[in-house]
Amino acid sequence: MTIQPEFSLRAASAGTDHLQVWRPILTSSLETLRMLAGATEREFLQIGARMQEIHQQAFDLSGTAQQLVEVASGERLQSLIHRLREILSEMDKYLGQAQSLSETSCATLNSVGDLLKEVGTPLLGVKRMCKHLYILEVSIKIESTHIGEMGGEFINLAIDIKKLSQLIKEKVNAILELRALLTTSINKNNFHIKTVKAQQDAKAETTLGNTSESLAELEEVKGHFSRLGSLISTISIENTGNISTIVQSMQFHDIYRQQVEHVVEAIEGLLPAFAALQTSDAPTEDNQCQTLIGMVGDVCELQQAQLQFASSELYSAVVAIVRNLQLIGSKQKQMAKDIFEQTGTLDASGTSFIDEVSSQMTSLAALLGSCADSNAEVAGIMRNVTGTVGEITGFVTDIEGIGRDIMQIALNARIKAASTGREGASLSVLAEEIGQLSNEAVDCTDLITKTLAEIDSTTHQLSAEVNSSEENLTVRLTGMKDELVSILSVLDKMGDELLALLSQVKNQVAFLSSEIETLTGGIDVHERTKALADAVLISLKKIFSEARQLHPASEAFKEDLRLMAKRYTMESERRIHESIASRHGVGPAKVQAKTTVPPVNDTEFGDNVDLF
Amino acid sequence: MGKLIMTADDSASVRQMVAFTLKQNGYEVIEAVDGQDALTKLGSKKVDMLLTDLNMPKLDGIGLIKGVRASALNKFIPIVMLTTESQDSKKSEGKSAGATGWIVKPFKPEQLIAVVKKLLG
Repeated sequence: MTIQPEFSLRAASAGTDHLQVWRPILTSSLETLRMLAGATEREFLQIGARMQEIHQQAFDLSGTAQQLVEVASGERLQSLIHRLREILSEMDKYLGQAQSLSETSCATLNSVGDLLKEVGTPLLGVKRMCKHLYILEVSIKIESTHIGEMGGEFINLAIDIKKLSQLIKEKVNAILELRALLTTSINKNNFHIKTVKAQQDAKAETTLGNTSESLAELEEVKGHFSRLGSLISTISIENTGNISTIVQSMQFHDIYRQQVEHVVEAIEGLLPAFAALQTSDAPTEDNQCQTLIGMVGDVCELQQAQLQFASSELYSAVVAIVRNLQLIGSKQKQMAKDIFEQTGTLDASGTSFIDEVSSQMTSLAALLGSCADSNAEVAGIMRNVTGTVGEITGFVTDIEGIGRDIMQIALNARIKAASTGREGASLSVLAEEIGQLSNEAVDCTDLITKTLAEIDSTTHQLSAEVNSSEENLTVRLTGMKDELVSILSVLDKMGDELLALLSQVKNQVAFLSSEIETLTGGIDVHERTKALADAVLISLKKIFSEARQLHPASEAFKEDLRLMAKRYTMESERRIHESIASRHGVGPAKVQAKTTVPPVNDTEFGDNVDLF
Repeated sequence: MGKLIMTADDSASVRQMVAFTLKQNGYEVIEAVDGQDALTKLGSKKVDMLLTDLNMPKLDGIGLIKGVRASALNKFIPIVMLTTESQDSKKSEGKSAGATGWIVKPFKPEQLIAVVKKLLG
């Protein structure tokens, strides 16, 4: 290269001054760069180790969330919901039957009441007969005095009749008393059954409605959880993507190190020229000085660009690491929030949607118990009615027997009266009268018996029906109740599992968030390296600008640029080098002719992968 | 028991990421800090695959490949270079030495796993 004498004289003086200033700056920059090349390994290793822990924690958290989803939307809950729906349907059917039975019971009791009223007339007839018998007994006693000694036998007959009529009277009174009691009981029980039934119906309607609603909500929650399962899978996939970006970004530490080492090598290559300049004589100095200034300009321009790129790449990589770690944390947090919202367990009470269903199931079980009690009560009432009717029937049978006894006495009286001749004619009339009365009594009792038989038949039929229904319904109710208790136990267990898993999710999320916050908050390697690199960049830029002012890039250095190109083994470095070289009119470096390495399916793996 | 893969790299953080990626996918990993360390370990250990950096102190990736191909124990295992170098001349040199594949850093974990699966079947 040829330098103009005027320019050379001015430039030599200024150049020497500058070179003296640049040398310590470059030496200092080299120290900083050497530090940058080796200082970040430990920090990246720590970030890598913590990233692995966070990845494992996020994986565990997703696992817990999946378990939770399985509890809240899995097959176990599905089969419980299905069975609960069946029980609700059975309950509905049962309540229909119980309603019908209750109505029949009330109607029967009303009918019994009416029939009991009918018994009143013949009973009064019997009572009247007793009064007549009493009068006849007195008449017999009076008439017996007219037939002398024979009258004694009639007096005995009269005493018997009196006793028997007294017995009938007692029986009739007992029947009337029982009838009154039964009528009162029927009216009372009828009212009770209707009241209880009305209450049960209202409660059943509410409970069944609420339970049905709870089941619908449970199914809805189950649906939400199923969707949450998909969301968790999606988040897991996204986490894998975030980890992939982190793993890729972590490699920039190694790339940066190599890039900085290349910058160091390039700047180190200048230092011998500085040393040579100090030992040379004046004429040579001018040339050497100009040469060195040009070389310094080229190297600093190029290395400033390389370092700028490397620093920027590392900075972006670390920002990407921090960002992706934060994304993992925020997604896991959001997932946990969704879970808590679905389970309704954000409150401190620790209750969940399962508790609501459990509560409804408990009410349902209580209702079933109450229904079973009512059935037993109706059956008891009917048994009581049947028993009382049986008691009345016993008294009526007694009255019938007494009536037949009186008929016998009347027959004897007529026979005796016939043997007394004309004096006993009046006694014969009285005996006839007694006979008729006893016939009437038997007729009355027939009527009563017939009515009682009707009551008996009705109550027996209903009692049998109630007993049978009660037995069947009790078996069914007990079965349903037992199953409900069993389902409740399973639901409670699921609730406990859910709460335990939710607590686990809460703890895991809190721990993960704290870990990510601590880790990302502590990552400042990019800021520190950038600050150091920026200081070097400012120095390189300053030197490069001053050098270019003193000595624009010359043809003589093109070969140096080409030689420098060989140092760059990375695609990105080569691109930067070529860009700078082309700015100075230097063509691409001549490289060894490409040996064809046929890639196998490289596009299958990416542009940076070749399989030989 | 997963297949055993050796990763040789003088960068501890790169070894860490490679090991993490492989272990996540069920592979067992043995690490070496440079080519010489790798050859020493491979002298007594049969592995299913070798992933190696190119530029390493003591013995570089090309030297390591040649050493492995000359050994009895791991002669035929697939060897993939994991390097920042992307020059065709270097790839050609690697292929001649006996490399099975070449991956330029930075790589995505899924790329590495796809290659490993492809080569290990």
